[in-house]
Amino acid sequence: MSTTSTPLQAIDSSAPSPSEGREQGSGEFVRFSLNQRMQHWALIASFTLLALTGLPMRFPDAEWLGAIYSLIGGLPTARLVHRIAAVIMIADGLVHVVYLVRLLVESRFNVRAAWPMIPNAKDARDWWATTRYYFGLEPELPRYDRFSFREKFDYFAVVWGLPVMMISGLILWFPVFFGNRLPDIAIAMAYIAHADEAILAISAIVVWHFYNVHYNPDKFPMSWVWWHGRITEEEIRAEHPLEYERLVGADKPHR
Amino acid sequence: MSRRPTLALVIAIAGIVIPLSTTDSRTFAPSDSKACLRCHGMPNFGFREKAGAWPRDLSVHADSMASGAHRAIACQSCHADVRTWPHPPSTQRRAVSCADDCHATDSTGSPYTHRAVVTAFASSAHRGGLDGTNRDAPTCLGCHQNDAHSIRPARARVPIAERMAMCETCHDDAARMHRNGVTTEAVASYRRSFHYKAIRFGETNTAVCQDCHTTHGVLPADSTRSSVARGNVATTCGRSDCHPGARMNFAMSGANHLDLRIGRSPILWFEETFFLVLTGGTMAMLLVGIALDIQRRFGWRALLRRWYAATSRWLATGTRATVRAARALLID
Repeated sequence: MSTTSTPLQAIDSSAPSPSEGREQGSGEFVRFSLNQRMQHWALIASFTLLALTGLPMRFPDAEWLGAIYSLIGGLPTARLVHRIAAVIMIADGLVHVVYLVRLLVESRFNVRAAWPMIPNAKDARDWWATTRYYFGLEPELPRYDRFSFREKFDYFAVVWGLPVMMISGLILWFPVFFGNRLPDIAIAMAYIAHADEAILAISAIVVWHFYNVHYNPDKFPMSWVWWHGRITEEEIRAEHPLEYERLVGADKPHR
Repeated sequence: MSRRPTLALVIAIAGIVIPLSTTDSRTFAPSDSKACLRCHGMPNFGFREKAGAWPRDLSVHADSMASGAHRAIACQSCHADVRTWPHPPSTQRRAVSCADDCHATDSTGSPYTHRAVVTAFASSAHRGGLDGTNRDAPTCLGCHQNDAHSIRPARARVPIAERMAMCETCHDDAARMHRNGVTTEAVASYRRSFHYKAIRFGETNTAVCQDCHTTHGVLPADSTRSSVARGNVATTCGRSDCHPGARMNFAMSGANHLDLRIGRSPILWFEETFFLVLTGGTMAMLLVGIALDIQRRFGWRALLRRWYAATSRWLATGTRATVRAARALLID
């Protein structure tokens, strides 16, 4: 259990403090700052464009996918859109890295406070307890902190996938430049990595991430936290009780 | 060549009329194509070797020849030993060879011959088609549409998909490839390359078989003279209209026939397997997680009960509605 006494939101100076959010009176907390949300919006836009322009290339014999190309003006346009979206995604990734460094510096290099999405032993215990709960061996779900093991999994899927796609994509975008300077197997590896990791990423997003934020009966049709960044008190008490206690406890005077 | 029922009629007429109309033999001037076209210009002109045999198409199909590369060539330039009527018997005639000197001239007026092409072909992997030693190997006419009369000029007019089809006919035929010790994966592996996918989506500015392997001098990669041999492949890839500046490392990636390289490379095989396992394992895990979450909310039996109820309800109303509609349509 995380024992930082500093409320998490205050570390990210671009987000209002939790007590501010509370005073807005709607029983809501700020879960994601504008900075964080903008990073996610850029990711949504670029990921969608990349997937739509990339899938017909991966499955060229599927007529219904080829219709995407016909709609936007053929392969030359698709290549252009794919590369523009790639630049957006790479820029978004770099912005995120800078953001992570800033968090670390602002927390005076306290990694656990600055980077709550790093998995720890509690996540393993939570995963085990959740599985037991699913099989009816526990009466209730474990108490999650700000990011449950599911959300950490989603995050690290991007930490793995984005560099893989970026490096392989750049090799394929400039094949003569990189091909001449790297071992000849590099282009072949880039071909395989780019195609296969794309399939994994798209599947994981469309199935897993979409379940968590769309198909899940609690959220259906959509959780809006990615848009306005606010989470209701009921939600945070139900889904992230440890964080709720920490935020609420910061308001109370020390006992 | 098309065979029509009227061919029989024309043969009958030709068989009667022509011998009757010429009571003496004639010799034709070498540039007199009109004389030949009197008969061979007829679209359904044919000849039956013996009764009951299928007739041979002897028409030059003048309308398609008029747009072909050989349109300006006199008949006797190639058919040099057919100078008289009646024609000398076939036993006294040589088959036309594309290597013959046909006294043709190109558009600038210089003599033109296919000798260079035939020489290249004769030292290529496909030479068995030229000397007849390999029935599986391509012949001149086999790729060039089986009709020398209306033959099209090469690169400029043949669509790229058709150029690929020329090679696919044999190289996608697994049995034929087996017989000749050639890989059966050439076409399938090419279909995985960006070059093919560009063709698939309507682009023409891309590399197809003949661009890398040459048209007539096709040789396996382990032959030093081959355009795709280790020593030559960088030049092939680095042509000014393709990938200028390409060097060995780029050219040797094997990306055009990736499956072939994966088959030879443990690293690539491992990478493919790694991604397969990663994707399959991850998705299986996530799907199980979702299924567990759903069943905990609704319970397995409750969930199945709901699905069953919903489905039977739909089937019942669906059936009733269909029957009602059919009744309205057919009876009322």
